[in-house]
Amino acid sequence: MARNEAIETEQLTDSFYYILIALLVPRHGYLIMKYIEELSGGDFVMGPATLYTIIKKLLKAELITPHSEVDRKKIYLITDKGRELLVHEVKRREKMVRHGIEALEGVKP
Amino acid sequence: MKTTKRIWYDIISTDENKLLEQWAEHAKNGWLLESVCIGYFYGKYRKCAAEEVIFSRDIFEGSPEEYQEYLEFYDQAGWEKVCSLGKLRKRKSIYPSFIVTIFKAPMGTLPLHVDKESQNTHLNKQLKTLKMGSRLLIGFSTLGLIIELLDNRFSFMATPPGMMASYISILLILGLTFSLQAWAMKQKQEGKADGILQLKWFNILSTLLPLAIMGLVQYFTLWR
Repeated sequence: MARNEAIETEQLTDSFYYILIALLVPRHGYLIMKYIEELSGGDFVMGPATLYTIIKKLLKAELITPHSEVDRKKIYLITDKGRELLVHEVKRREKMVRHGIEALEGVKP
Repeated sequence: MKTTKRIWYDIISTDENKLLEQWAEHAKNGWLLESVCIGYFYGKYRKCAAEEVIFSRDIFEGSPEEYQEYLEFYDQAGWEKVCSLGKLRKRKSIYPSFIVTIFKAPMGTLPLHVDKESQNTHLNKQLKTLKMGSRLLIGFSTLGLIIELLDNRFSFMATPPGMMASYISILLILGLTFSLQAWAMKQKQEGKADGILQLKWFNILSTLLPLAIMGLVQYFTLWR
């Protein structure tokens, strides 16, 4: 699967990336969706089907862990491994953005 | 006053959106979907208070315990289970254990498959389940056909002539319908849906082909 390969090669897709950011603090499913929508200003919307699938994969990869349960709602939190990967990913994306800016500035008319 | 009713759908319900719209329309008129039969040939409805809701369909693969967790997860997002199709197995098998669940949610709820990634995954899952069903049914009917033809030659079974052929025909019709549904869905995935699904011959073919094969089966097993 493409997404699993992405985790193995330590490159996160946008959905994985946003979920890991959301789980820097403990949150349950619905709150994760809401947070991502707010954080991206509505540019990135994730449905429950995608969220459920990705949460299962992140749990399996031990990048997140069940934190607690309130009113039958499972709350998740990022693990140290997940945080490490997120930091790596932020740096990678930052580098990519810099490359883009430099390239665009280089060809400025 | 009638409190339940059965509504038949198109012979081949390949268009998921059409089904979802139909269910929503019936709910608006006070008839809530209660169950659907395999192949989506018909749906059973029960009288309810008219409600404006949207419907969605999702395929779950996993264990019965995980399924409960999955339902709760969707429930938190506003999607309530209406009915399901299929059975989850506790034991591991060569065939994946899956269940199709139909959900409803109040108008304005974030759709289940809102992003492109999820829409593609959903289509792929639908294709996988259809192909699996089709292979199983066609496999069983072919086996049945061979047994029936051998019985015609050597008469080792006690069943009346043609009885088994009738069962085979039903399996074959279902199997071929699933195959055609899978094919139509593949076309949709490749972006050819509008062109192909609207063609009249597609609907004609999906009805005539299984009937023609059924006729041949009957000819070889009963009247020959």
